[in-house]
Amino acid sequence: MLEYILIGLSNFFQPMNIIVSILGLAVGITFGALPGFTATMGVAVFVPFSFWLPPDTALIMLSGLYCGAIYGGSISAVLLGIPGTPASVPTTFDGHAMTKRGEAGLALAYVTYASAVGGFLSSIALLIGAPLLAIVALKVGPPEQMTLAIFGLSVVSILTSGNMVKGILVGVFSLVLATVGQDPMQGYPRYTFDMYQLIGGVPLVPVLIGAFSLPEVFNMIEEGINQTTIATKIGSMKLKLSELRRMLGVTIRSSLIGIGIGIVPAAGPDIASFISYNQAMRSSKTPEKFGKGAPEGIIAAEAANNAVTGGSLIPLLTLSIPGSAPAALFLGALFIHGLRPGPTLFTKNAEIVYTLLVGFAIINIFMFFVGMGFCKISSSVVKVPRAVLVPIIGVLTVVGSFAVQQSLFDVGIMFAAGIIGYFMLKNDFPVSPIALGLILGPMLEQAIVQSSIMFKGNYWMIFSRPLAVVFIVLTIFSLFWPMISKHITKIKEKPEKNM
Amino acid sequence: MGPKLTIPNFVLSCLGPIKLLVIIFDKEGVNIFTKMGSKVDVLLAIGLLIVEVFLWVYIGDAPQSARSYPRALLDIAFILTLILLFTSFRKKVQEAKPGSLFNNQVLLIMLITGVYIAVLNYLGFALSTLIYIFGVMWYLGIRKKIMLILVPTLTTLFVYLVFNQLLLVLLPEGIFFGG
Repeated sequence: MLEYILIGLSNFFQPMNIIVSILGLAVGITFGALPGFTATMGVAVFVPFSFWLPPDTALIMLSGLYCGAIYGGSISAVLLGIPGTPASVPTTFDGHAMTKRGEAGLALAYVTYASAVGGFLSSIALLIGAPLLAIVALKVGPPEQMTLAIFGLSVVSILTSGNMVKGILVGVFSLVLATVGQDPMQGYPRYTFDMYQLIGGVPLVPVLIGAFSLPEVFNMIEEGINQTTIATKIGSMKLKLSELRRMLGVTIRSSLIGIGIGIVPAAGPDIASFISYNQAMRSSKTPEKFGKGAPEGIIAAEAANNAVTGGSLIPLLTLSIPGSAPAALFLGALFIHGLRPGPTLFTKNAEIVYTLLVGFAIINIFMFFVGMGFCKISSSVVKVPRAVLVPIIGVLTVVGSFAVQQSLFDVGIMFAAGIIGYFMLKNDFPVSPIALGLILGPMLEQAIVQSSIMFKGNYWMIFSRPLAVVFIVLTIFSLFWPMISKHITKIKEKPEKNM
Repeated sequence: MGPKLTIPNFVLSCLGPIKLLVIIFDKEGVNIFTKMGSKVDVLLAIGLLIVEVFLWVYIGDAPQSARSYPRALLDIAFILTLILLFTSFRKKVQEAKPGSLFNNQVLLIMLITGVYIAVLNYLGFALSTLIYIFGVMWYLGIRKKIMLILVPTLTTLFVYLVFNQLLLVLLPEGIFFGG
């Protein structure tokens, strides 16, 4: 493994990779910093750009985007009190309070420091954890693949939506969508409606771009295009070493929370930052300072949400279950480059994967410096009016979906996916299962067919495969999770009501 | 050759009537969908049921091995949709979210974007993109001349250079400029 790490290191330090990682970071930070632009959208819009790069460079660019966007979301949270991404909501509490005190620079410095540390620690976890989980993944045969795909889909469908029925419905429908095109056994064209463009299946990239970025653009218009922003002075960005030492505990604990939540499928950075913030407040000696500009609050939220990035890639690279919505897009990018997550990824494509794993750690170190530089000009960046950004994103989605196959048909698909996605968003249907359904669909069908051959039609044989049983149990548990969590919160609320 | 029935054309032709509906029913500035509350779910569920039945029947021509998997999925979807239908019947209208389903401004941006995609092949990338960015910015209330000129030209130029020169993707040139 050490030798692979060294290969990864030497691969990463090529001029192209370094330029691309810094470029990805800069674009990601900008995307995150603009209110209304999320990390998911940033990754979605730029996936097609990665097409022309070799796979390792492409993944480095997307990693930079992903990490940068999660971090950047906190810049506007500090300066404007408007979270750039949902994951930065807790950062607004203390970050904006510090800005009001005239300490915007210091708050941003804390954000940058905590994000870089959280991200770096998570990349170490990724570097150690992913190859370990890949060993478990070696035992995955068709029956396990089948139950694993079902488990991944059920978790994403349920956790990302308030309405369980709607969530699962989206998951199942996405699987139906994935059956479009030639069937794996005889090549019969299913649901192509005589359109030759659909014989290869519904094109993945246009659907991802459309469903994950257009709804957010439309939403932004709906929320109001004319927000007034006040220019703030950044001020000093110097961090005191003694202060950082005092907050070392919070930093590490929050990073661990973030990593753990990142590994859990579909529990994204937003959940991590809230949990970590609450945890830090509860264990603090001065909880009354939280919300009034306590640096601990900023660190707790930031270290956690950036630590999710590395954590969410662990199940993704080994079991192809994404830990968050941007990670689902990352999965799409892997497939586009012909890389199939799983144990073989760590043997057959070891060079690419270890370049990514090592690069992920270095990107987080770069992020500190790029971020500190960006913060100095950030007050003018967050002032860019949304009315300018909307058409630019519109153009990028159109060009991006066109470029992949140079087909206007794909642009139409992207647009249709965008409108349907917006409609779904407005009616509480989650969008994330679409990505997973489209990616895992063909694999699931193949696995079902192979398992039925293996078991000679007797599906009860599945209980002879322990790992498959584990995934079945997990699936059932995830189905009942909403009820369980409701019950738990009820028990917690009761004593408070009696008081 | 006349314009083909492509997806963009199809989507566009669907958007028109929707817009018309909203204008007709939307007399007090309150969107019709808001008033209907959770009835939207009922309508959606019924629509989904129709789609599911259609897809179930449509795949009937396929050989056994090609149709059993999608049909099994559709069976599950059908049951889930029935559950959705019955639960949304029971919900009270007040539970529905305030805020309209289709904001008129959003609908118009959708329409503009749809037109942009549809004319891309005829006007070419450069011209249609210039007009699109300018149009959307103007519609969303930007009146500064420098921005109205610089943003469309620079964006178009940048995207054109990156794709045509760097990535070697031939963007549509249109009937005026292309051969």
